[in-house]
Amino acid sequence: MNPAANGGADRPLAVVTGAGGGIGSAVAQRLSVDHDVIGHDVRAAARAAVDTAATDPTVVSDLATPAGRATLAQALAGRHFRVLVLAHGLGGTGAFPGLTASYVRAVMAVNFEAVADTVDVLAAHAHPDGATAVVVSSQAGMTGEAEHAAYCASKFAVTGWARAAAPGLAARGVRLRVMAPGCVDTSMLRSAMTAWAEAAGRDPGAVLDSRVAAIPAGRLADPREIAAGIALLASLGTPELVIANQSGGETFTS
Amino acid sequence: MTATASPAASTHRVVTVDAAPASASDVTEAVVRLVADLQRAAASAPAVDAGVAVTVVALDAGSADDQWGEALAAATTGVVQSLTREFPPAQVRLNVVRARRGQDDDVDEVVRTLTGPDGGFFAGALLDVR
Repeated sequence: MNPAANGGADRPLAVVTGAGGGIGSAVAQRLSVDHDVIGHDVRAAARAAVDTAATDPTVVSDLATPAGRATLAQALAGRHFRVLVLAHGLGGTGAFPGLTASYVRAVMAVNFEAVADTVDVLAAHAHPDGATAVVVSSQAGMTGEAEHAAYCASKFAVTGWARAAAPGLAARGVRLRVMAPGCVDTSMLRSAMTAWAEAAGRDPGAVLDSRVAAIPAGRLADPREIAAGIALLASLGTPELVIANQSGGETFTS
Repeated sequence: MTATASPAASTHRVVTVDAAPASASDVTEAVVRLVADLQRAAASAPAVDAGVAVTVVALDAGSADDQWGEALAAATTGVVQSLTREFPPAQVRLNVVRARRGQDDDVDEVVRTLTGPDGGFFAGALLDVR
C-alpha cells in the first residue's frame, strides 16, 4: 500500500480505512491495481496472526478522534482522492440486558461517528473533478439482529445519515455509496461467532454451521467478493447516493 | 393455518427519544440514553409472558436534510428491530413511532393500536406519522 510502489502520483488516489485486514484489506488490494492507495487502520497489522489477508496500513490513527481524522487528512499530503472507502468497524455482540453505556458508546463511536465525521473531514480533499465515498455498513444496518442492538444502532445510523447527508456531500463533489454486506469470512465475524457460542455454551463450529445454513447462498462471502462490489459502487458516476447489499440473498435493500 | 389475535398488552411503556442532535457524538449519546431507558423499562416490567408492549416514540424537528436527526431515528429503529429478534414478539412487542413534536394525538392513536388486541402482529415496525 505504499503509494510510491504503486506507480506514483499520476494514478488516481484511493483512501481505504480498516485496511489492516478483512474487507478493508481486500478493498485496498483490489484498488491498488489502478489507484495509489493510502491504507489506514487503528493499528498496525496486528490481525496478521489470525487474518491471512491482513496488510500493513500506511497510516495508523484512531478515526473516532478529531486528531486521528486530522492525521489521515494530513497523510494525503495535498493530493485529492478519487475514492474513499470506509471499511473500519467494531463488532458489537452482546445480549441487551448486559449492554453498558461505555460499550454502546464505543461501538457507535467507531462504526458511526468515525464514518460520518471522517467523510466530512476528507470531503475537503475530494478531487475537484469528483470523488466517491463508499461506506461499508452491514446487513445489520438493514434489518435487526438478535444480541446486536449496539451494532444495529451504529449501522442503522450510518444508513440514516447517508440518506440525509448525500445531497450536501454531492454539493461538495462527493458521491456517497453504502455497501451492506452479509456474513463475510473475516476474523471479526469469526470472533463474533465464537463470542456468541461461548455465551450460549455451544460449540463455535456448530454455531457457524447453523449461521451459514441460514444464508440462501449456502456459504460465507469471501472478502474479495465484497471488495469487487465496493469497487463497482465506487466506479458509478451517478447518482449522488447508492445503497446496495451483498448478503447471499439473506437481506434485501428497499 | 389459523390466525389468532393477540390479547391486548397487559403492560405498556412508552419510551420517548426527544433529542435534537447537532453532531455524530450527540447521536451516540442519545442512543446510549435510549438503551438505558429501554433497560429500565424492561427491568420495571412484569414477567415477559405477561404481554408487554414497548413503543419508542422518536420525535424530530422535521428537517429533511437533518443528517444527525435522520441518523438518530435510524439508530432507534435499529435498536428496536434488534430487540425484536432477541425477545419473542409474542411476549414483548416493540415498535417505533416517528413523529414531529406536537403530534401527541397521532402518537396516542398509534400507541392505542399497538398496545391493543389488533396490535399483536406489529413487531419491530416503524410507523412514520409525520
